[in-house]
Amino acid sequence: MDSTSRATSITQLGDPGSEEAIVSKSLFQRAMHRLLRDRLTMIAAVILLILSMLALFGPQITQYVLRIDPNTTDALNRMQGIGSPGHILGTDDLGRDQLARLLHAGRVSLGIGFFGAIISISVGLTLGVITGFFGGIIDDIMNWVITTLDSIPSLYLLIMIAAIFRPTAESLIFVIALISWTGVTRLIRGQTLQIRNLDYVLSARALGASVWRIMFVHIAPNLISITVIVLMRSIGGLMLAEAGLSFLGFGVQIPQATWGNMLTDAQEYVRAGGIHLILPPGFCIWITVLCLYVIGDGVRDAFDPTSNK
Amino acid sequence: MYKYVLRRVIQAIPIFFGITLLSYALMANTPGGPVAALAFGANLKPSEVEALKIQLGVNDPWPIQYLRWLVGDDWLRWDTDGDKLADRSVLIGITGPNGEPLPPGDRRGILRGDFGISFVRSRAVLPIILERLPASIELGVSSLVVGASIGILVGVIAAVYHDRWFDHITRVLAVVFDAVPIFFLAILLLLIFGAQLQILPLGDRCRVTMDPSCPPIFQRLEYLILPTFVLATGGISAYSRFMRASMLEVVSQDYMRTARAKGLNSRTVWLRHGARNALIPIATFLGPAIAGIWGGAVITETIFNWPGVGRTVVAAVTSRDYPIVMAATVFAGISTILGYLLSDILYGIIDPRIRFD
Amino acid sequence: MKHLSRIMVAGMLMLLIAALVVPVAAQDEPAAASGAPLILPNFGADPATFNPILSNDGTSSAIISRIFPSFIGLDDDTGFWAPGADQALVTDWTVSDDNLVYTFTLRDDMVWSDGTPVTSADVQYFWDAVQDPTVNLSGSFVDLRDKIASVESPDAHTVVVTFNNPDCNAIDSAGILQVVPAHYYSQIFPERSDMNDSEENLNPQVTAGPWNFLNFRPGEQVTLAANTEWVDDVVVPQGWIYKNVADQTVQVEQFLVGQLTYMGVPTARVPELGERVANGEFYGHYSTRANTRFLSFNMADPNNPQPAVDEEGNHLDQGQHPIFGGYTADGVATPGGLKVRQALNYGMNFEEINEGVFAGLGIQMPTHSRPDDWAFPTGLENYPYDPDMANQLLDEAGWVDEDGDGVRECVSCDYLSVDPAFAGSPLEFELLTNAGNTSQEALGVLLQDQWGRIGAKVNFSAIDFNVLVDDLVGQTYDAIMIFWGFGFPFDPDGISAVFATSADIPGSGFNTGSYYNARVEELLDTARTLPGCDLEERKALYGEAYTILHDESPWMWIGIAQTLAVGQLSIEGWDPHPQAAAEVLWNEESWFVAP
Repeated sequence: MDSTSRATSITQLGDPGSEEAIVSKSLFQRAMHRLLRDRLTMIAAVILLILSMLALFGPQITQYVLRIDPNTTDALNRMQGIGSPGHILGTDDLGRDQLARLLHAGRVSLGIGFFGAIISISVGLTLGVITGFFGGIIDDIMNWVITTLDSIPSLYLLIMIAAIFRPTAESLIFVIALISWTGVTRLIRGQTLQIRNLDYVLSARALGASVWRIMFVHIAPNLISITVIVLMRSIGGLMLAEAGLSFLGFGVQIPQATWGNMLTDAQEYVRAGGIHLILPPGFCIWITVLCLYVIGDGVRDAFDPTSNK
Repeated sequence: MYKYVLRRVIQAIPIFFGITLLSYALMANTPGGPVAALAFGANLKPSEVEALKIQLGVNDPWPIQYLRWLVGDDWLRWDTDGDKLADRSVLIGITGPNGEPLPPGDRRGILRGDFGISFVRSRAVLPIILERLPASIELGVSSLVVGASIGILVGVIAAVYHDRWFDHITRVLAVVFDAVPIFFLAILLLLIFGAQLQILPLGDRCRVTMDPSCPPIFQRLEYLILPTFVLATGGISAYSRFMRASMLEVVSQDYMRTARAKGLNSRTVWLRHGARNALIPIATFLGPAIAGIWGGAVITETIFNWPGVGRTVVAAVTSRDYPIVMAATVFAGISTILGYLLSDILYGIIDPRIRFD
Repeated sequence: MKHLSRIMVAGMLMLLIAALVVPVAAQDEPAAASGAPLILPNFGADPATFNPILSNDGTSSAIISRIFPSFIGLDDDTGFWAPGADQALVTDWTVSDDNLVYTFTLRDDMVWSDGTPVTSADVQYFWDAVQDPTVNLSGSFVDLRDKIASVESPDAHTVVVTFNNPDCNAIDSAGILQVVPAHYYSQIFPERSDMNDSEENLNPQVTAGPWNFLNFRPGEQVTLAANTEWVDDVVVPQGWIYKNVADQTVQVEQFLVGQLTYMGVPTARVPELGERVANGEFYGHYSTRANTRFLSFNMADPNNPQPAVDEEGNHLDQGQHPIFGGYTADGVATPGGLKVRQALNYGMNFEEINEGVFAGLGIQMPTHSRPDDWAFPTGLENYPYDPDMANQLLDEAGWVDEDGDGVRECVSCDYLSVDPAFAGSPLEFELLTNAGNTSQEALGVLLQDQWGRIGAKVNFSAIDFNVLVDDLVGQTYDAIMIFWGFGFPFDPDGISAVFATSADIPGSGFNTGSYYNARVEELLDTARTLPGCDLEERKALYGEAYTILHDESPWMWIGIAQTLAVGQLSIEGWDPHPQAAAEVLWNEESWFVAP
């Protein structure tokens, strides 16, 4: 079965000229069909959607539903447990409402992951397609830049760059995007190189199609799936990076809550009546990243011609 | 082959300069340089603060600082009449804040093997890094080995039982640990196995004694278990997912069908042909994996109290101890470059289609 | 198999006998180096050096203090410098009539670990190093160059220290003179500057103290061995291990499973461990020997930092801070800024801070000296929490919330005389502290919220220490919150550096907030140079200065957090002195822990 489906897809891809947009659409449709049948991916997508909505409307929910400000302290009622009056998830070491903070923090953490990934992927896509397509000296220079950046452990680079900025959510997006575009560029460059040398692209070039037409009509659609996969993994990876930076003291600084710094701050209370402080942000990060990874894998399987689901 | 290796080594030279230039530029442009904190609390006069800057060499523009770090300052400021005070200089100043003569430069720069003196610790940098390197290598290598072997095993099995329960479970399991922030995972494991169950040590590299060093590694393997696992989670997940995908791709290829058609036992086919071919992409992972281990070790070493290089780097960035940060980056960078090189060579050995030319 | 079980039975019998016998044996005076090594965790970095001349960091100092003698020691009861203290060299001293020349007599029974006697030459070597510009001298000793004119050693057991100016606190300067092995240093450092980056500094082979240096394992521990020939006490434990534990949660867990002998407790764990101490599970010791937390208001224009005086000594116009005020061009204090600073004091709810930040162990402070320091002015009270008073003062200062958004705006505040366009600007300022210290961060969050309730918008952030110091010393901040130890024994003169005109130099001075009050400077000068140095008279002078500072509030003194140290019950002889800090528990040389 494997080989048949693969053979079909190759013939389809091999069709030259204008029909390949339709072909890739049908490939896309088949992938979507597979994706919708993949229960695991669908569950992950639903969870992620709920979490994103909660985070997106976090400020509204805290303001109108909970009627609590996440930064209002009440030190005399600190460390209240889950279900204490007025505080569904209890209070932290300064008596701030844990649920309100979690909602506000989610917006920031997801925002950092999402926008960081968008930036790094935009950069990666652009540079990857250009270098993969044109090659030559641009490719050599870009290769040097990327290999240089990749040869410094990313955490070293992160803390060095993070130390330059006053750590706010916005600067952190920039910082983590700055170091995460290299992997994307590498990947896209490789894919572009592969597609560029496929028969139908070569024939389109022979027929005199313009460079831009080839890039956008022939190459770009074939990068959709890989982009989605990378996007999912990047968002997750960047959220983890945010948490790691918080632990090392280079993350978003208080009083702005993020899941990462809530988790870091709760760490010292984990055995001092603070289980309710560490588990919620820990769980939020974990489930979000897990869902993103599962969706990414699901998309890859769905688009992978060798998969026979 | 030798020619290829040589060419790759030559290609690594501009990368080395890229790494060091970028790192130095970043460090030197970080606000709050090393001097303010060193002078803080010491009630220094403005001229003494200035003298301290000159002594550390951070008064110059950063490109000159970088040059000094790279090739030393014994040729930037030197003594011709033998009074041990400099009387000639290029690019850098020759006098102190009050016009007093300065001693000649005595640093030889990293290209001549001189890693410099730590700003904060009044020690040469090289021994500071070297005395911590064995612990880092110990943890790094064990994580690489564990990550690759578990990852490959899981990936192969998942591919063999494609679309069956093992595959589904591993698909989730592979990312379950990878989706937890590494410090959170480390703390949880430490509290569960070290504090609650007390079956594994609570951090450290060996038992605390008055001895001058830890016993040989085989006498303290239990200390390696948790930090190795935590540091290997990234590798396990990456390797298993990659392995599964490439195995699936390989088995769908013609020669595999031919092999099966020839009536070969399916397990033999899988292992001999499939696994061997699927190892190719795995080999390419070595370079990035080494870089990943250096980075991940920073957090792992902190929580498990592992006496490696990573912890030193964080402290050095915070205290703006450029020479230490630079030295650690050089060591990490070179090992990563070597990793990439090794990847490529392995790639060629495993896949006979690749030729080194 | 049979063989094995026989061995096991025999082994168990022997263990049983040992268990019965050992405690009985331990009843007697324990012999030197008979107990298990003591293990103290060190949250932080490796020591940089064991050379007292160069040491700048706490980890190094903690070890140096255990392997090198001090010049003058402290009295057990008063906490003052006193002759004849343990592990100290000075047995007595005399002071000249003009208060300038101190003649110290040294003991003759102390020897370095290689058998060479400790003499005045060892102090002399230190002084020579202090004066040597090629030595990368520790910041702690730079002051000595200005204060001390000369150190001479007429004979092996006499040291004469001559000061530049009469100074009632001169003994504080003499007290920090270090005793280093001159004969050994001159041998391993042919040129004195050779010591600057020598690896020998981390391998101190010649020491004199209850402990001898044994080894240093980078990133792991520093190990000292009992000096069985130590002259002052019998050192009971075999050794003393200063162990690196990088994470506080891990440190506490290591203590709880018995891997650490004693430790200072991180604030987050104080309530829990305090309870367990009360239950008798561990020994505990609460100490007020902690750093003072304070907040410095910038009272000059943060956008244009100027020194207080020019090179000829004329006062310069430093501008004023839009919110915290300062001085007009003729040096007159602006009244509105003072009211704002006082209002912020009244707006601080210390009860909440104590619960949220200090685990209930905080002590609010009206000034930087503690109530049990001799110079503390009797009757000086803390600012009470009084939001009504705070609101009233802000109203009076011309800050009123006219648009009802909860933040006051400048309606008739002082700064309008500088810049009329400032009208309507919000009462908003930046509060900074150092990142990485959870209790400082918590303190900032609480103050931000509390001051929000009286209509001040505080933008609080925690930033890298090095950046913070740049802002602080560069005088470009609005308000900075840090903590500061004023040394032990208490030196009332520490304050003069902080509020003196001469220390108001952007980039290097400590009067970072540009506070200026001629009366305070006069009081502090007189108290320092008072002929005869009568303690009661000086206390009155300091008292008046402290009271003015308290009222004018260039700093807001917040409080100190008592610390809790805990020790395992296996320690015999746990007896911390009330003055002892959490890391130095006084008599640890005489503890016995069953090996």
